[in-house]
Amino acid sequence: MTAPSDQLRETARLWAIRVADVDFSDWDGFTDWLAADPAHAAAYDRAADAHAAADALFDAPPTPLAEPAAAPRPSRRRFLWLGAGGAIAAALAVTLGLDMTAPDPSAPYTIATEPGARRTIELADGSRIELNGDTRITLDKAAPRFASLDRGEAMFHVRHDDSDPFVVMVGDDKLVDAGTAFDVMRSARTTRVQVAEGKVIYNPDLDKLALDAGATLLIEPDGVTLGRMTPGDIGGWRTGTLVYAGASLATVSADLARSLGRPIDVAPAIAAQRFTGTLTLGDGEPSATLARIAPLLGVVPAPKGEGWILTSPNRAQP
Amino acid sequence: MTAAPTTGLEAILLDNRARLVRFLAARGAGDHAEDVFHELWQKIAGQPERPVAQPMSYLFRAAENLMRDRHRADQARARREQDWQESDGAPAPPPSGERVLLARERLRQAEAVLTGLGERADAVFRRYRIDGMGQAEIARDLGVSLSTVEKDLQKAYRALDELREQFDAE
Repeated sequence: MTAPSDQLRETARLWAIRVADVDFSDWDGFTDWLAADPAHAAAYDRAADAHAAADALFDAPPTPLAEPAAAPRPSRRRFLWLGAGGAIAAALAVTLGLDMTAPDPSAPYTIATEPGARRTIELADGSRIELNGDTRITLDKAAPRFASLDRGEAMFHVRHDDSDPFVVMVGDDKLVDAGTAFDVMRSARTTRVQVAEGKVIYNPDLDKLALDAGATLLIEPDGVTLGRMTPGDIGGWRTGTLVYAGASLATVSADLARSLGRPIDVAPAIAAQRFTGTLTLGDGEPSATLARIAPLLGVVPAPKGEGWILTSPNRAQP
Repeated sequence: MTAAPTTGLEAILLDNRARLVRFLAARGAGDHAEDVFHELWQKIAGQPERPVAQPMSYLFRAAENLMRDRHRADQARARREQDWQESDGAPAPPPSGERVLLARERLRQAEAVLTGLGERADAVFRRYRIDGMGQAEIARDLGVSLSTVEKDLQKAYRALDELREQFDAE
């Protein structure tokens, strides 16, 4: 299986283009070329495969979100539609104040925050997304009612539109707003959704789970847990207040790392330990804040790298 | 099936047996060309009778499609066997949200490649692939020769091949 020479590859490519045409009729000429060398048939198949793969690049991308009803699908008009996306993108760019020297339709873009930093994004439709520290979110200019939370935590204040629901993807999970403010956190192993106002539908195509105000949803590798909390406590990180009811220390330490802006690990032995209570972070130095709240959590912080590791007070840690 | 009366297309198929078998053999069927011809005959005989404007082109096209189907089936089988061998420790596919964004990003890059081809080649490819026009129709439309259209498509597919090689390397 040696690769065909450049010349053979290009000849095969030309035949693949000719044969693919609806009006192609030179079948005997094609047969003569194929019969001239057994390598020609393989080169032709390779070219036809490559062209099929290239054609597939222009298939409409899969869309997990409800497209606007007016979006024309016929292929002849697709580029016009992308053009319209450009207009929306331009409007969005102005709102976001992004550096958009070369606005390009249908391009996803990401916004990320450093650990310890926060940022608010105003969307063109009046929706607002508040990003916690160490958070990355992907938006798409061609789909202004879509966001993907890649990592970290964000509070969504969504302007509701029954005909065009706002969709948030969190990994494979899909959240659809039904008139809403809600908080979403994603870490390597955990996704957490907390609804402050209105209603969110979790995976409308699969689970069809309606979460109303005060509902919490915790998705972990070993299962999904539904819970409740006071709606006013949701998104407390925005004011430096973290409220928990039976959260694992792994979750708490990840929240602390985002808010304090330093890496905070937790010793495996106590990672699953649960915490219920309120942590007030304040504006002090991260080290002072952590020293103050560690007794509440029942842990001892030990320096590790640029941050800390939370350890059990009952045993000496390396 | 042999008892059924032969239709017009079947008759043409049987009359041109040698020509089609030669094509199938050269096209990659080799010693199995007669078997593939038989498969082709069963396909054609199983179809309801209907008028065909260019019967020979139609039969060659059917033979070509059959060979492409066989090729794709071979590839799918090879891929399954390879997946089976490599299934340990294979990276999980990206989450669907990222897949969507990746597909959009790739579409955007493919669009940029077309734009980079220059105005005429860009227009030729879009009419051919996006609008589904025939090559002769595109040539007439743009006032160029059929050979120019072929060369523009060749250039476009070559550039898209290079883009896909980049994607594969990512």
